[in-house]
Amino acid sequence: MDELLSEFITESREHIDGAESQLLRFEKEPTDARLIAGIFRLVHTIKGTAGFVGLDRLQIVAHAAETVIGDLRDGACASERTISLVLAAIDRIKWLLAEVDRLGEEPDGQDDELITALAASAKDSGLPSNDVQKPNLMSDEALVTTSKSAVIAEKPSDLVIGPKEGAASRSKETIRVTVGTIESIMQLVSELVLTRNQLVEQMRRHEIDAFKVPLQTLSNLTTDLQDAVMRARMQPVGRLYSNLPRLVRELASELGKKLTLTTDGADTEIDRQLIDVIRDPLTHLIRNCADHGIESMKERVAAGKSEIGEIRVSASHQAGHITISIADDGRGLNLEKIAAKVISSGRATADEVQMFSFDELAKFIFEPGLSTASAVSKVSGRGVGMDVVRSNIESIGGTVSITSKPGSGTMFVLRIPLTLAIAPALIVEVSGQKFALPQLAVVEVLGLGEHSTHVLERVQKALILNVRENILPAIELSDLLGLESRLSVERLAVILKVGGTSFAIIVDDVLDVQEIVVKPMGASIAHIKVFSGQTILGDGAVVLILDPGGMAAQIGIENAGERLPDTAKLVSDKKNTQLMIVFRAGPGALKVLPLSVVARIETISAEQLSLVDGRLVMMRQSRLMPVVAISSTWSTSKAAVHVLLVVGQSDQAVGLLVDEVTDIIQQEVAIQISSSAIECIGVGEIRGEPVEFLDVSHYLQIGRVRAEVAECRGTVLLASNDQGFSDLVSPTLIASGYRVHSINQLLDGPRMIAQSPSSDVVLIDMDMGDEARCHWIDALCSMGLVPDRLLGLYTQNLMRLRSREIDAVSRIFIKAERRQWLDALEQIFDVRKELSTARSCKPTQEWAA
Amino acid sequence: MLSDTVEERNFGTGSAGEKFFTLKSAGQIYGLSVEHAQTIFRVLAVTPIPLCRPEIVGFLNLRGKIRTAVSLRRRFGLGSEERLADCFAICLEKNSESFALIVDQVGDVVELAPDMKIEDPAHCHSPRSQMTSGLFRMGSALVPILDIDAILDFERH
Repeated sequence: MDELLSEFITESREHIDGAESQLLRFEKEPTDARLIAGIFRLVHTIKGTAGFVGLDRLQIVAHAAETVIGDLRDGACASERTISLVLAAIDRIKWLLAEVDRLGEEPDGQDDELITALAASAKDSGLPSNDVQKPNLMSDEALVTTSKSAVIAEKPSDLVIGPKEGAASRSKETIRVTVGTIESIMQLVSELVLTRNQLVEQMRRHEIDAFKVPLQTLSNLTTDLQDAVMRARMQPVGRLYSNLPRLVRELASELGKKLTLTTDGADTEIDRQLIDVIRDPLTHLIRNCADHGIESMKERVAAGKSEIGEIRVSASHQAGHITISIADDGRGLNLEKIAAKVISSGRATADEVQMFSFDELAKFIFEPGLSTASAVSKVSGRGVGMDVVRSNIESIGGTVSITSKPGSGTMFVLRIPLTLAIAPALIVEVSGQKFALPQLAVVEVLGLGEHSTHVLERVQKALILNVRENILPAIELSDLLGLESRLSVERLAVILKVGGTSFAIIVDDVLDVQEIVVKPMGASIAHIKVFSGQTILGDGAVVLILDPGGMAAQIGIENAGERLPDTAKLVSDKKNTQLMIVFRAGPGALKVLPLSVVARIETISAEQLSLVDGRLVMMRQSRLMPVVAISSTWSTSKAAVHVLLVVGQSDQAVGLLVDEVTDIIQQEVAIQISSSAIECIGVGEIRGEPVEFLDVSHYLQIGRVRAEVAECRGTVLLASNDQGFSDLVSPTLIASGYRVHSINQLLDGPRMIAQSPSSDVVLIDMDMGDEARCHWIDALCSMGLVPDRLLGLYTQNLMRLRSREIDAVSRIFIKAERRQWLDALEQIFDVRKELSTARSCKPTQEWAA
Repeated sequence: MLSDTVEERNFGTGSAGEKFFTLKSAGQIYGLSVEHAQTIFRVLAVTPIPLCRPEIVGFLNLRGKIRTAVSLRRRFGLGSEERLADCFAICLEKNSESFALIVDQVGDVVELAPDMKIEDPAHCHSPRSQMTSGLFRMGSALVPILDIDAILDFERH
């Protein structure tokens, strides 16, 4: 292509983008003649040059548009129709320019329709048609004027290297370079940085004075060069903004809403590589705000808001990141709708949704296929897009977060790294080997020395780090990588944050922070997910780069926020609000039991205990009560005073010897890690401290092997898909002298019940969630279970029972009201007993009855 | 440097023979087409890769380029090298990935005529024979030729 032609095209394309946003500003401020004058000059220049280089079609369109724009400049009414028409003309010019750029000549075709429309509009304007050109301005001046007047981004759209501030007007000289050139310079600078690092490392070892100063200078220059090249790659976020006014205008007319757009921070600079990645998510989020966020005009007025909905986009630098926020003043996220959608799509049960925090629930809008818009519009509601938003942003190491306030709006915040090419990384050491850990994911590094307040605890084989009242999952990096661990005292915990999940890795040392150039893994080792690549350090050593996301996946916590019900490792949804007794027994974490299983707390002296037949017993109400020392440190000295928790009832009671009762609390208790140990249900957190939830049934069994044989009142089957139900209920039942079988699988559950003797009673967990519960009840009914054999237990009255279920379940009790359902059970079994006695002894009476 | 010790010798009749590097691993001499071998280095520092398959001993930094080092001994199931620092690394490329094949010793470049080639004996089924392509008679010795594609295809073998 002719050099003149190519220069014309690049320059025109650069400026026409700005023309569009200026036109929209003009629509709002028709008195600002400077805005329209700038556009007029631009179109005029295009017309002139197009004629000169022989682009006829472009010349004709530009001419027709110029006439209308000229009228506007001269005071014609800027109606919405006229503006739309001019926008259409600008679009056509843009398209023609793009085609000429691609083909080297004008494409075939006609623009008659557009030209006729433009001509008609010019006639309607009431002003004398204005073919005479106004005083001609040279294109260079046009450029200067536009860039001065533009508040909205009006920066060159291609890469421009040059002094940032030149003297006024024409001195801002620029040259054009291809992106490829910049990229290869960047590559060279990256290698230079590495070589510099190697030299500095050598210098550190050899200390040659003569080299010190020049090396320092070289080092500084390299850093400056790196900065300069980085800056050359940078482009203002304003480039992203330039097409937003148009987008919002179109959305407004499409949706029949009134919308304004305010943008802020247009001159914030960002790596050009990233601009293209952000564009689609940004567009989508704005569409989302306009369609879902902002209410219809009627609703807004009814809610006492201005008729005009506002969308605000702002960008700023924040500590190595760009933050772009997209906010609306609409109705806010409809959490109920999201919850309903989450349940109906089977992503979580109703019970689980109850327990979700705002963040957890809000996150679901980024799931594929989960649109809450009830009607699919042209703009959004198809459930595609939000997942793309998240994956695009995450692919460049960024994050998306949402805040929302019902009735006053929603804000999306995109946090995006400035650049991808060179990243700062921590060089950590473990088992004598070095690894690089990208600093972006690192929250903090903590010392784990003897005097550290941050405690690393081992709870049921899992490591847990206790940091300022927070419990974090932790893992030894050496374990994760299968390396031999070195037991040193002064180790460090590096806390990482991936998505919404934090965790800690334990390393031997953090050696350095270096800028590393990430080199991707080869195919033969790409399957190892804990590494994202490799790099060469200053000393020439090759180190592997740890991938925080991959590590989280390896540990099994990558989706703690979106956990599935059957996640084996984290049984975190077993939350129960109830009174808990917290006590200390032996070394390690505090222990917890539900207060409901504890009959009494006694203080006893050691002399009340005696060691009989290898086990501890205590005389109590003229019976021997077995005592289990949970505390390993109990003292036999007669004077010692012990705390005894009596669990189980009357003659079934067992004493638990503990060190001290620290608290009794009422709170929601979440079992976060399930336990493999027999005496422990799992590990959770109370007031920032890890605690072990003990399984009282285990102790009851230890204490009462013989008692159980002596008398069993009957067998109770526990039906639930939740192990927690039986963990909670069975201790009470065992303590009351029932034999308990828990059935956790719907698959073989009904069969087990069908095979069980007809004297058995089934306790069903009504908190299972509507769907699961219905399945269970249907299955039980189909096995011929009669209503008086089925009791239901629930925590909260959330259920909407079907009539079939009401028929099937004879009585329903609140879980916590233990006495009531125990009485009911007793009644059932006692009646049975009487009946069977009556049957065998006095058959005639049964007839009489 | 190594090139000093490399001399060319001809075996067989024709001069149209193919040129091979000879190398030694676990006492056995192998041939490797000179077209595959780019450069030969003495092994310096190796960065082990945790969780990696055992044949890959780690990363090597060879003149600023990171290469994945594959032990020929381990690949053939013949134990590991006693001291990596005594070994040699032959630079290879496959699917634009850079590898270094770790061998005990490297020898001369020999030219072997096609008429010296014997197909693999039918009773050879060891993993080794699947990673070689034919044998050449070289003087009194039989030299298996390494099949680089097979050696670097970890999925297949």
